Amino acid sequence: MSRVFKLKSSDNETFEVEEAAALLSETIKSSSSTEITVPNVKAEILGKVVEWCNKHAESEDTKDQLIKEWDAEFVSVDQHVLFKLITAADYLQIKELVDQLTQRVGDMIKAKTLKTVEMTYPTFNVEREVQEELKSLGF
Amino acid sequence: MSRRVRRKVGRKGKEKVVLPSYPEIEDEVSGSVYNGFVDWTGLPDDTVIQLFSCLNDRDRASLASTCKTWRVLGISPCLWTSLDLRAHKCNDAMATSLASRCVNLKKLRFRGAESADAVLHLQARNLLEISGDYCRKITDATLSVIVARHEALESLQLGPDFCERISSDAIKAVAFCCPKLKKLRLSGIRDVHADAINALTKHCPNLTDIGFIDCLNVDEMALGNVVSVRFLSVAGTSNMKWGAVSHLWHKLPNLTGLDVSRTDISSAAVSRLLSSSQSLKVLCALNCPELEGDTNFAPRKYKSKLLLALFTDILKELALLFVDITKKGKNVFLDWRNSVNKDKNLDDIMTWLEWILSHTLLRIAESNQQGLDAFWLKQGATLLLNLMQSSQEDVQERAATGLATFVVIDDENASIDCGRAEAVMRDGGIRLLLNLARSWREGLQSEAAKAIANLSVNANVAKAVAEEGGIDILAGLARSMNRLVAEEAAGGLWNLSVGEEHKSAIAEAGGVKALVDLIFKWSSGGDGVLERAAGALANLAADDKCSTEVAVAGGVHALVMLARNCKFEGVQEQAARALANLAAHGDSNSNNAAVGQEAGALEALVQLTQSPHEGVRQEAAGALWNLSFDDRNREAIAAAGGVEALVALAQGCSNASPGLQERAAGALWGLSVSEANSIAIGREGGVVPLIALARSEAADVHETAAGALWNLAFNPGNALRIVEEGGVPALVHLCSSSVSKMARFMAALALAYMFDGRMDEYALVGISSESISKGVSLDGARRMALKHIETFVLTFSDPQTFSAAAASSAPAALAQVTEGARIQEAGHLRCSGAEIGRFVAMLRNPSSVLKSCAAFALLQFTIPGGRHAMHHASLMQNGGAARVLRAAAAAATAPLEAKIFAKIVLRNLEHHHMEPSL
Repeated sequence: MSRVFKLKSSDNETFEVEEAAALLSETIKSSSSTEITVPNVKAEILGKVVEWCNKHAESEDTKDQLIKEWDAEFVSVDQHVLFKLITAADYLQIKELVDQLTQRVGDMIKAKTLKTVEMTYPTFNVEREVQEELKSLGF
Repeated sequence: MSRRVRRKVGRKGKEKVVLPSYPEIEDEVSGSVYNGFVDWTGLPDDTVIQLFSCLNDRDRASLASTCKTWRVLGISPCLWTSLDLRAHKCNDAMATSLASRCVNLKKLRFRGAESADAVLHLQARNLLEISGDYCRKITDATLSVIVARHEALESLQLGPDFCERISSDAIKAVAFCCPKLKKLRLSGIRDVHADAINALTKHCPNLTDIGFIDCLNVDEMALGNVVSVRFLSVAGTSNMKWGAVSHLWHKLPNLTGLDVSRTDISSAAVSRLLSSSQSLKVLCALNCPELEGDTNFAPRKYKSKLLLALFTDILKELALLFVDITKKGKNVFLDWRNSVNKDKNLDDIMTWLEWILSHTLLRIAESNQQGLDAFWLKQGATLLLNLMQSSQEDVQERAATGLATFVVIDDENASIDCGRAEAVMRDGGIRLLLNLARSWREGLQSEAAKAIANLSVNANVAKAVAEEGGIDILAGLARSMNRLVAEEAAGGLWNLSVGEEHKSAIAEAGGVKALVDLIFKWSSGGDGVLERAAGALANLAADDKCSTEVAVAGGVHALVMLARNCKFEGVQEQAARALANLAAHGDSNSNNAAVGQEAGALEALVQLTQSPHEGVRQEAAGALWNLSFDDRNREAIAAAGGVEALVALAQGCSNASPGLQERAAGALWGLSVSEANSIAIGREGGVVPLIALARSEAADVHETAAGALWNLAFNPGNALRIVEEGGVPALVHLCSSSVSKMARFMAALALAYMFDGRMDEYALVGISSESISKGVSLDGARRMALKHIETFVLTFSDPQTFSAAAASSAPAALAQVTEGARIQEAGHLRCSGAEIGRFVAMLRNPSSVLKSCAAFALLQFTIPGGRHAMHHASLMQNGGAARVLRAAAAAATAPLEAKIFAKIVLRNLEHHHMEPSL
């Protein structure tokens, strides 16, 4: 008989998750309770994370082409959602999901020059020292 | 509230956009939204480090420059375990600036001896692996210091370029300094002496993998004592005593894999090694002529030992290594990489095999040997594709380079073997290569792009590349900050831009802008990139629409800059070709004028016509030819010394290629449109070389020369020169026997100008003493010329249609005559008012031949639909030509042709006169 875990979002919505899916999270695995509150993650994001866990728990072969496509679609979200998903996956310690999400961010950055990165990412103080170092690197 | 989740993930998450105005966002994760942007600095540190690890060092550096925290995270030692310096010109200062990050550096790749010198300054004392290429100039001293400072070294690879200056002394130093050494692979060493090998045996007990590749002499006796060795390659090494080897090496207790590819090993030695070694599992002997030449040698199965040779089925042999795997044949590498149960021994063998196979295949491909067609088609291509999916980056790179190399059968003419290219395509190679090109590793990007570029010479492959999204990928890589990547990507775009098919796709992918930007980015010090970028732009500029895009992207300025400043001939040639193509659309866009207005453009092109390199001269002359279609450019070229330069070019090109001859004559033709230039060309001595070119067998050359002579002959002084220099027989020959109608036509017109009387007046005035001394009889020349003009005109007069047209002036009959007389390309010729006036005047010439010829010429120039027919018609109307034409058409004494042609010209004029009012 498998257990059912209850995950509560920061806006007080509860998600019931089967054991196989829930245990993909190291945080849940190491928790003593089956009722877990996830701070700082709202239902909208937590729901997505749970959906990912369910999908991956029911798929046996994660190298399968179908699930790869499903994953590709899963991470095709805008930057805001992506950021929140990473924060949630990091808190719940779902390694594979963190991997996929960071890879997605990496893909977004790749091949963009410094200028483009500056436009996409809020720039703080690019120190002179750094700039000079970069120059010496041949960048 | 409680619910089970089965929500569908929204496509692209569009309906779930979190607007920055949501009041709750601020308390969710503090500071996650910043002016509508996501503040990624709010990410947990470990995630940021993971993010860095998905990026190459260039992207890492730009990301690290966004804020202090990320900069600190960016130098985390765990991100700096491996460093690839190959794309950089690494000097001491740069290495020093990296030193703080390299404390835990494990793997280093570099290129060139200068970078080798700088390696010390990284102070990466914990380095385990060093791999260098292009090490021709690396010295014993440099290598000795490197190994002395990196005592933990486990792997040292220098190659595949030959390390000519490294001797046994440095190898001894390696042995003394690096007791933990496991792998040593060196290429192209002259002598590997016994004492060096003995030092390795003594001091490096863990040395299991040795490669002395492409060396001259290796002491085989000493190698027989390296008991630790499991994998040994002496591929390409000459002067091996195979008799001694086969009696010694089988005693090596751990020898598992032996590579003797590209050597003169005998079948007897192979047999002995296979039968007597206890430990040997794989003997690799690809491309060994002695072995392959021995028809008696049967690759007998030795118990659990594999022989890999050009005549064995390599993939099938390899499958024998896997007793437990049922799937065999083409997928053996893939199955091995995906297999769950890892066998350490087998993994070592396969990893080694991947490396030596990729190396040997590349070397065989480079040597471009005859007689290997069957091998490449049957298994070489498949092997390379298999190796391209290796988990070893250098194997992947070499396999991609191998694909780029083995398809090329003639470097000079860039011709590739269709069968081989299509074999790559059939095995799914295009998708694999494009995937590699998408990788974040720049070494893979450049080698994959190179392979795609070379394969795309084949039109079918080019189509497949385009269909699989390759054009977008290449356009993306062309924007790379890495010069090597950008260079190969530009090469790919160059090859794909041949022909009409992919030009617009390249433009749509932003390729034009990317290529122009490349020129600005590498304007100094990147000859290879510049040549390829200019070559691609040249092809693209051949298309009307793309040529406009090139101009909009700043291409005119970029290409002129190259033509002016670049000293490398390949770049000059492509830049001049690109400018020629840009200027080739005079009717439909303003690029022609724009090139001329770019400061220094015309001067630079005139300069380039004096280049020592024939290709440069040819393209520069071609550019000037096209540019001279614009009136202002034409005069500016002359002002820049174009007449002198082009006459000199024409004088010097008697043995040059037809391409150069055609363009030299063409540029003079273009310049001679104005009479002032025409006179200057005659004065500078242009007549003699043009007559010589008019004698050329090549239609393109003599047609162009005829055009130039026609323009020159308008001036009586030039006409006399042409007579004096023996031009009449040359033109007569063209007029009667060229395969080109245009050449015959223009030669006839040149002769008509020469003998319509104006020259005679000029000749009488004075300078005829010279002509008399040369023994030229003007009368004789005139008779000959008129006779051939007459014959020429008569070839366009069919007696039947003529008598029909004479009997009735019905439009149908005249139309039939026009159809028979029409010279299609003559529609492109544009005459000035003076020229038209001269033909009109010729209608009243006492010579009936010249009358017919003039009427015939005017007919060609006024046929409705011709590009300049309207222009000519209005010139004639303004000059009152109609009266003269009517007189000619009605004259009793004129020949029938003259009358009918004149009648048709009159109808043409009416047509054009009507047209505007319609």
